[in-house]
Amino acid sequence: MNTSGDSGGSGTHTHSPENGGGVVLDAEALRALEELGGGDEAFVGEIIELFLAEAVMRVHEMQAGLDGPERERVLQAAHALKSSSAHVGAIQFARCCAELEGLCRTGDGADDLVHTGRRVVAMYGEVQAALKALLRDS
Amino acid sequence: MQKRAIPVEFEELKSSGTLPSPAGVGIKILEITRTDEFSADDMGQAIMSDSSLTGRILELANSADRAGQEPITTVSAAIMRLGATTVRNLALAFSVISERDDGSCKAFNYPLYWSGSLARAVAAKSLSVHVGGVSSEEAYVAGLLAEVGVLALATVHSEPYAKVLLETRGQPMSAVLAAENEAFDIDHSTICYCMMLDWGLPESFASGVESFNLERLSSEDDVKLDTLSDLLRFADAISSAMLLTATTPPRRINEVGEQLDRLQQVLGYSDTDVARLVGQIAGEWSRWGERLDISTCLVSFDSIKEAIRRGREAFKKELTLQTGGGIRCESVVADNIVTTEDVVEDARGLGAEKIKVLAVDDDPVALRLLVTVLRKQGFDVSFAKNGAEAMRISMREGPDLIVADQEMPEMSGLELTRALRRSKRGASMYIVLLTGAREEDLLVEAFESGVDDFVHKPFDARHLMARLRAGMRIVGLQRRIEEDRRTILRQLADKNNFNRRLKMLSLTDLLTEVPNRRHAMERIESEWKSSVRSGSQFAVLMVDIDRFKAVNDTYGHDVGDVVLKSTAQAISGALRGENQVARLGGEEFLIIARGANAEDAKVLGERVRLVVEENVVEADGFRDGVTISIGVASFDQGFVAVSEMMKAADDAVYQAKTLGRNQVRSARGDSQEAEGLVARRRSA
Repeated sequence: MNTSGDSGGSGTHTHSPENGGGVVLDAEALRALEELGGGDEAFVGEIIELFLAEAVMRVHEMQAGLDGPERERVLQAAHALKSSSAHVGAIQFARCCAELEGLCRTGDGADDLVHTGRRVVAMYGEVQAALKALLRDS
Repeated sequence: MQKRAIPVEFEELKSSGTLPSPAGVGIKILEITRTDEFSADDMGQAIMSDSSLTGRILELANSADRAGQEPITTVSAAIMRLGATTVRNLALAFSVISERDDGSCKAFNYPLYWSGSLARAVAAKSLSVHVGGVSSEEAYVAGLLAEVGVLALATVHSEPYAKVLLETRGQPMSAVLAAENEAFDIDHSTICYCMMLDWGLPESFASGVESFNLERLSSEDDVKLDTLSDLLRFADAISSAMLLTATTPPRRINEVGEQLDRLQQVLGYSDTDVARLVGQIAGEWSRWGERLDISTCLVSFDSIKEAIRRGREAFKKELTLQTGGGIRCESVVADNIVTTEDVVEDARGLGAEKIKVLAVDDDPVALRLLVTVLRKQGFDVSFAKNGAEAMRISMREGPDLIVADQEMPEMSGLELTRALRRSKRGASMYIVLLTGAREEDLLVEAFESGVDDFVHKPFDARHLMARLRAGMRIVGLQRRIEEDRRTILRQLADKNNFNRRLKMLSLTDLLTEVPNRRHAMERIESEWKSSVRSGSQFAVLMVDIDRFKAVNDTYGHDVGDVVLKSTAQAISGALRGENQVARLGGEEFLIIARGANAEDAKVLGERVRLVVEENVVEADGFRDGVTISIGVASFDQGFVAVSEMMKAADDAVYQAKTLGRNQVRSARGDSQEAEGLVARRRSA
């Protein structure tokens, strides 16, 4: 799989209007992931699929948590998403999750929390699309 | 060869006090073995005081080329099998290594020196089977120390020697020797010779190593493997081949290639044979490297062959083009060559066993990545999705390393660590925690809980591996300590066993193999005390073989001895339970009968008398039964001291003898008439 080149790379450099033009998937991080697989062609795809399956449930959890809002529930979901998304190159998304996690921990205003939470959920849509595109291209 | 005078230049080097030398136990061994008549026991004791040294010597004594023999588990056994001198030399060589550190000579590659020396030692050991008169251990020591003169110069004259090395880089060894003489009035070959003599190694050994140092380059027609010097030359070729670097001059590579060709010719080996030999040497090299903490690299014979082929081609070009420096040609060889910079710290290492790693993460993506990275590095990987599962697997499989995520629901990485550290198994595991950037403030708490190291998430493979390598080192050390501990325990058991045997021997009569007088007396004392304390019964039966002097006089002492042995066995066979016979001396025995009163003792005596009477002793020219007279004394007869009781039994024997032998008499309770008879006979 080629994630570093420009051949079919609609996914790697997808621009996100909501994040001031930041990239959804970080090419550097994806290259690192590829390196971890050490030449195993199917490896990156496998990891991405694993992430997508896992993340759907977490995002669902987060949405449910935001309705309350139940801080603990949101916190758990944000923490898990932060960790796994960073591995598949969704660095911006991971940062957002980290921010949300921080808000849950400090116990600051619920408004901020819900606002950031919604942003994370929306952003996940882009991450998901970019990753799926990447899977298709490979 | 006559021992040469030690040159004053060497004495000067020595007086610098910085010559490479054995340390600690090594010094002690040097002192103990200064003279030819040193005590092997003293030396053994000194070696045993250093458990890792002990382990190394035992490992060498048990190595593959001595397969088929009983494994050696103690230093004393190693001394017995290998000889005290060999063990001594091994101990010295190992202790020189353990003292090493990277010195200050900038042009001298210390790690490469030790890698090369170890490779040469292992190669020499392997080749020693082809050379008469050189044992594999001697070959090992010679290989290890063959270039110690170079190390000495680098250590004592670090700066001027760096200059010599730089100026002669890429030139033949003869040029190096000349430059050394020019600069220091002494060369590494002579220093090596003097150092070996100084350490008490035999002159033949020192001069063999010296000829290796002087002649290894001028042996073009020498296709033989007869002497220590030949052995070292070929071993050096093999070790050099395993350590070719990008900067090895083509000329040297060509030399190594030629030496290997000659070796193949001498041994009559096929290419496959040579490949197998090199493979075996490389394997042993890396095992010893592990043991001695010396870097080694993974080499394959194919890559060596290819490197040599390129080197030789380059050398030919160099000759035809007369390019002089050869820099251009070196670059031809430089790629695809085995290099020491590639020294591999192999995760699959630590002997044959794979290192077991447990990966713990609740995030499936991270866990999958972790497992992939670890497996790729050759670890034996198991994984767990939460703390509780990790705990179970840890207890069941006892992993060496654990990589655990800190933030997991229910049981965090920290809690897992604390729980593991409370268990005996978990106490020695190396635990690396994966943490997010925010968890910095955990640091102190985590270390206090027993976490060994941290890696930030998301991790990259290189970073994680660097941390795990540190962990592997610790695991390796722990395994080594555990091994040493087992060696010590084995030795202790051996020593105790020996002491027990010694004690038993000191209490046993060597001829009849029944307990001796000393043992009998100890036993009676304790029986007496116990009877006084608790009122329990015990009796002694003094036994004397009738007319034994006549047997000795008629048939000789050899037959007499057989009579004693046979009678002792007969008596012993007639006894039951805790009753015991001992030989007091001469033809006199004593039976100690626990729990017996006067009556019981007499019955016992009668039984013993009968058994002996019926026992036929067969010896050279003698086939007959003997009889015994027995005197009984028992605790219930009211003696006031052991000595009185023993004297009474003794008197009763006299009585039995006087009354016609082959009978049992009791000290008190037999007829007064008999007592009177004894009294009259004695006074007569």
